[in-house]
Amino acid sequence: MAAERHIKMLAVKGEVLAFQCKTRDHRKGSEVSFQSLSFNRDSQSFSVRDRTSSPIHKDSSAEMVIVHCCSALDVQQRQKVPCVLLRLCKKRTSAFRYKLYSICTSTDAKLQAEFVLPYEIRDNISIVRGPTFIWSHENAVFYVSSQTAGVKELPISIRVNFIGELPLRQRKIVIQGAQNAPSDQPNVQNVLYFIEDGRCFNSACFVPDAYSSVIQCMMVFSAEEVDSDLRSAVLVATSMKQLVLFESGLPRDVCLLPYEQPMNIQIVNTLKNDCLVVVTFSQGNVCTVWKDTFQVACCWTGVRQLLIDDFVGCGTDQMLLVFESSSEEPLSSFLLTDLCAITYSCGRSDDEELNASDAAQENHLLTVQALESRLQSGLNVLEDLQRDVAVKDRLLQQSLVALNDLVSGREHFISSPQQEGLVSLWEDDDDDDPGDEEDHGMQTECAEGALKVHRVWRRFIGQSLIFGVVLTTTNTSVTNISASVVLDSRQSAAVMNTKTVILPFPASDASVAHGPSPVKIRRSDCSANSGGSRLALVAVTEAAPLLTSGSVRCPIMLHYSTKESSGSPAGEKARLSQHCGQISLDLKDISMGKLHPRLLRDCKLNTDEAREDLLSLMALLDVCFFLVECLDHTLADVQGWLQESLRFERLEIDPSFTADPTGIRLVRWEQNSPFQGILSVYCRDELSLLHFLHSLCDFLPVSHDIQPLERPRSLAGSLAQTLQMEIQTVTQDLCSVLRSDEGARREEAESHASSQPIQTLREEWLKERGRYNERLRPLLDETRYSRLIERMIHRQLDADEAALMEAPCL
Amino acid sequence: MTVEGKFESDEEVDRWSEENNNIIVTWKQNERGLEPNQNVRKRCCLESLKLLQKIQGIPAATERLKLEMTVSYNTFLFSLSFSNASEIEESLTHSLLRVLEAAGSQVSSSDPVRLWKAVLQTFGTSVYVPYVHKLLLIQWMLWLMQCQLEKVLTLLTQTNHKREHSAPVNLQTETRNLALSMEEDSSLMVAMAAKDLKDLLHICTVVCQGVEQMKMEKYSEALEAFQEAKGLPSPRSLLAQIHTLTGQSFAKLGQPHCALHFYRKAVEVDCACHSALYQSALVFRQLGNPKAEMEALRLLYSAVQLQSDKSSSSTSLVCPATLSGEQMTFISRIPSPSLILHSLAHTCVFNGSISDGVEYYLDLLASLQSDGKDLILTGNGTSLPRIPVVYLEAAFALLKAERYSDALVVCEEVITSTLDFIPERVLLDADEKQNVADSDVVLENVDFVLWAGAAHLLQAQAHWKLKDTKEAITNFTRAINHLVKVFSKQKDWKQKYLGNTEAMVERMVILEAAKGQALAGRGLCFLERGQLKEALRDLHLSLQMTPGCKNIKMWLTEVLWRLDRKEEALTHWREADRDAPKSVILPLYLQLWPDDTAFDFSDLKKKMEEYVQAKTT
Repeated sequence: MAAERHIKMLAVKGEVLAFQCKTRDHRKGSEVSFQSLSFNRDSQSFSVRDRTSSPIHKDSSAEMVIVHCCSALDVQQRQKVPCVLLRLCKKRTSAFRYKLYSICTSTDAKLQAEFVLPYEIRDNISIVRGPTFIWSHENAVFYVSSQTAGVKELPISIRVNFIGELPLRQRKIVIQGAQNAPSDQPNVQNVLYFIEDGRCFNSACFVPDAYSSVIQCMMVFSAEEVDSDLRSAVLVATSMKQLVLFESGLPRDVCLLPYEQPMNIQIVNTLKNDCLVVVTFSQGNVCTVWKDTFQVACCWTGVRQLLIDDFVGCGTDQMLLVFESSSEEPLSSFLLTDLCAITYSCGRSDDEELNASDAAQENHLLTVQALESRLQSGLNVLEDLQRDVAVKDRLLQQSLVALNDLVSGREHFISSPQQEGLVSLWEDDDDDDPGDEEDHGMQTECAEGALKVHRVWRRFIGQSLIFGVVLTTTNTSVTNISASVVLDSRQSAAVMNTKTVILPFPASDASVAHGPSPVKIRRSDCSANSGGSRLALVAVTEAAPLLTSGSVRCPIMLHYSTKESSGSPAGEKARLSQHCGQISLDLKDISMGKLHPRLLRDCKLNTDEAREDLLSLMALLDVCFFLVECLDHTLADVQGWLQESLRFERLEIDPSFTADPTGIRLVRWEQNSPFQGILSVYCRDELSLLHFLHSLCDFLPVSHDIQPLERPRSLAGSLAQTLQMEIQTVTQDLCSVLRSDEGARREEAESHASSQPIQTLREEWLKERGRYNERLRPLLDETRYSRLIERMIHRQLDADEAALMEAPCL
Repeated sequence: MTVEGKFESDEEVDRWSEENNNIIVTWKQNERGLEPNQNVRKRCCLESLKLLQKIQGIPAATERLKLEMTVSYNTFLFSLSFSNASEIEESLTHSLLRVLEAAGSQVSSSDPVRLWKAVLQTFGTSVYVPYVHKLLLIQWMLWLMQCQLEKVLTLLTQTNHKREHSAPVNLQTETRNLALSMEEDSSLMVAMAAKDLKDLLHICTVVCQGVEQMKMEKYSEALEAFQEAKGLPSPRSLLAQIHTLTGQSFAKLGQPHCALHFYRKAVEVDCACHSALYQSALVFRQLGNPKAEMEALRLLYSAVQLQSDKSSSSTSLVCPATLSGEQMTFISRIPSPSLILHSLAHTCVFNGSISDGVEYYLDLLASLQSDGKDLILTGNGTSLPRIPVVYLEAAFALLKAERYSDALVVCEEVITSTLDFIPERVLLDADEKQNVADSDVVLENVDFVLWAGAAHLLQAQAHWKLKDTKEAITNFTRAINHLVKVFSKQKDWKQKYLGNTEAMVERMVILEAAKGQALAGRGLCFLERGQLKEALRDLHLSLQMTPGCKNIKMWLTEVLWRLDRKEEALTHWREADRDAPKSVILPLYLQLWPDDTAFDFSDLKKKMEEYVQAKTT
């Protein structure tokens, strides 16, 4: 009859201690014995040193079970001894008898404690220093040792998570768990209870309370008492399939575990100072985790028992995984490894070998990468140093040469900075500020209108008087138009300083030529405008001097240059003036707000007055241009933001403008492409501009880039546009330059068709030949040609300008 | 016994929030750089994942709910580039279950649609809505990546449940009217603002719909979708892609000029939009504009090369290309660089810009050799023609460019590599029932014969051009010897019999033409050497192979004239003008005499005209 055998194993001093419980027969009772096995490197297997096993306890009548075995410190002997707890159960009695033995020598066992309980111990069985045997039963914790007279019960009621020893000086045996609070407090408290002195700590210094409900098993890695505070490193396996490392109660690292129901956490001190955390699960699963990287190293299934000790005798720990097997022998199928250098396998097929997880391999890869980058950076530093040394060498050499020259009285030439690869810290640029052309006096000579004046208006905003003149240039060569108000003519005919702006009227296109008075306009080059498109000349001036002088009607003068007088050299153009009407000013009107632009109050207006209002505002307000760009995304909806967030309103007369109804502010948003737009802000002062920009920057997403522009690029035209215009100028205008009086000649030819056919034919032939000659080598109209050349130059200038604007972006 | 109070979890929330914000700050700093460091990205992803694991390591609770959902959102966004959609979806489901657990409601199923219903019902109007909606965006994204538009629709309809139910359910309107709460919490930073993600998802959903329509060949509907997409905020590359798709739809609708317009727009928006260039090359080919086609291909090739030089790492957290599903990547795919190069070279040679074509062919051969592919065995995996064909085309181009010795070398390569594969003879028996595998083998053998024959033919041409008629005759003969290895039992093999596939008929036509050319070539060589009888025989045979070829008839006239068989010569002369040659589509490398202007027959013409006049008078 085959003996029913229960084997429990324990690692002791590099050997395996196997406890066997033989239940021979109901009549003969059972026997618990032990024997030790040691690892033999040569045979790569465990062998029994002594064939005979030493009996611990023999009982003929009771059924015996090995409940628990582990090593614990024997306080009397001051050394670690293997302990084993046996349960004896006699038939027909409901009580359980427990015996705690410690193994003193290789053959002897010593009974440490013996007690009888009416129940079977199941929960939190542990044997700690003493040897003390601790267990819990229904929220009560009991302990027993050779020192205690019988079973003691802890004075507090606690739901135990962990029973163990801490490496502390005074208190060592600790129980961690949730204390069942008195009924008036709803919450449970998690405490650390020290058995030696009965002190209770909040266990939050170990593990946060939030984890208390999920802790399945726990292991104290290190603990230290500093100023009545516990510093600890604790490993916890939770029911969330996680292994968590806590340092002084803070979750430091997490590792996901592949199996459920962890039972035990152990540490393996392997080679290379690396620790392995081994988690044993129910149903024979084992998972190892590198402590450094906190990643799963290896997993095994079907493990019966896991022992950790230095079985090989190399100085560091190994894991001994004992697998389930059908064999009778206690260690027939095992794996002995430390996952580094040592691997011995027995009774297992090869394919069940180490299945190092991907994560581990990835770790190695990362390590190599890190080393590589360190090597690289080291090389870089070395190169830098070498460069430094070279520079220093050269410096020394030069100094030596200089010194040599000095001593020998030669003149020393300092090499140029460029040769030395030096860069001067400040630019030695030459001052070539293009001084503004001064207006050398104005001849008030009245020429007959090169400018045709249609209408004059005036507005009054704040302190400023704005007056505008709608005019048409009848002559293409008019340049430098400006306007001025003449003060009371009876007294000294003072001319007010004005800032003049010329805008096309109606304000459809935004080609504003801003600048100090007098404004230079290059209208002549625009064929569309040469005929008779209307321009609005808007001038801004201080209103106060006008009003103090008491005059209510002021004449307005227009000043302009013309190039008609071709005799004079190019620089000195004749400056002409023209009276173009007058404006009346009345303080009463102003105070009643009659002259205030109505457009600001009602954006829906669409009248000529509103147009004048807009022009006045554009002339008065300072304008700043901003380029809003986003490289990799379409722009945010700026127009929508203006209207929805800032409550600006679109102008009916020019929908590209948005006006601020609360203040005097205009904003113009033009989107050239989905990725780029130009924002023109018309403001009275810088503060309101800043205010606006601040809210704009808040609104724009991070990816957007905003930068100020000297002047809007769209006004200068993009490079492509200007080049296109240049080509157009050449292709379209070239034909107009050719002198074309062909029509006249044809008529001429027809009129002569009379007598003497041969003569006529001959003449005709000659004419025809001449005409073909002309066609081949056409004559040019001189003035038209020079105009074309001028236009071309302007076009090319524009293109150059656009190219220069583009250049920094490229 | 001192036991501290219950502020523990608040502390935890603070600590974890800080940890989350630190990760985001690191990420954003890294992204702000010119070239984001991939390692930093990965570290951020791992740290975020760790943080999420820590948070999810304890039971879910409402006080940590905002934190947990934010960290989940961030982690999912980070892991987009490091893990696949199904993994993310799994952890999203887990997160949702925990969210419900925190709220105390239990849902047994882990079906995302049901889960979302429960989550949206539970948190309908609570303070957690912005966070729930962040996770909802992730779900939307995942489904969009898998092109599960119906699920997206269900999800969005559930979100919009406050609205009236009567309106017909339509994804476009649902996305347009989507009211998600997008408030951001400054104490819990996110990797990507929910609003930005929502905008991106919105446009990608619209594009995805358009692509679906394209797949169903409903191009007008697709255009509508793309039109809507163009009005939405979009990343640059995606906008370019939308323009390209618009162009493709137009091209399918038979409006190639509209298509070109949109391809141009696409390139304007994003010069890295290669598919637009490729598509425009296709349109130009269709329009018969070889110059523009070559230009487009050339641009495309240089663009592809430029891009392959710099390692392209996706710069954005969420790549719109992956969002719009596989179909779009399929539609906007461009061929491999070597295929582009081949198209370019072929187009150049085909349209007469020989010298460019030669350069491209040589580049292509170099790249093929550097890939170390076997000449013969590399199969037709890509749509690149078989490599010997490329070699033959290159040799043809070299011949045209008068680089005869180079052409000889390239042909030699084909000859030596095909040598071992050429069968003794190939018998085409249409009566025999052949299975598909057999006919493939036969076809392959015919190809080997054809390539070797063509290589010899080209070599002979090169020798002839080098005035080495003897060597030319040898090679012409070799070509003929190769080409006659294939013969058919049926007389009229052009008829389609059982097992006589179209490919086979095509091969036979080509073989016949090659034979004709080889014979004619040899005939001309004989003529040059004064061996008139041999010349007459070969030219006659050649004319049988390629009936109606004007050049051959003219040469035949010449030979007959020299043999003093003037009447026959006259008959052929008259025939030559009468019969228009039958047009047979030949591969590029056999188009040696593309038209009638290949030879100068003015002397012959004169002679014949004189003879005719003499006869009549």
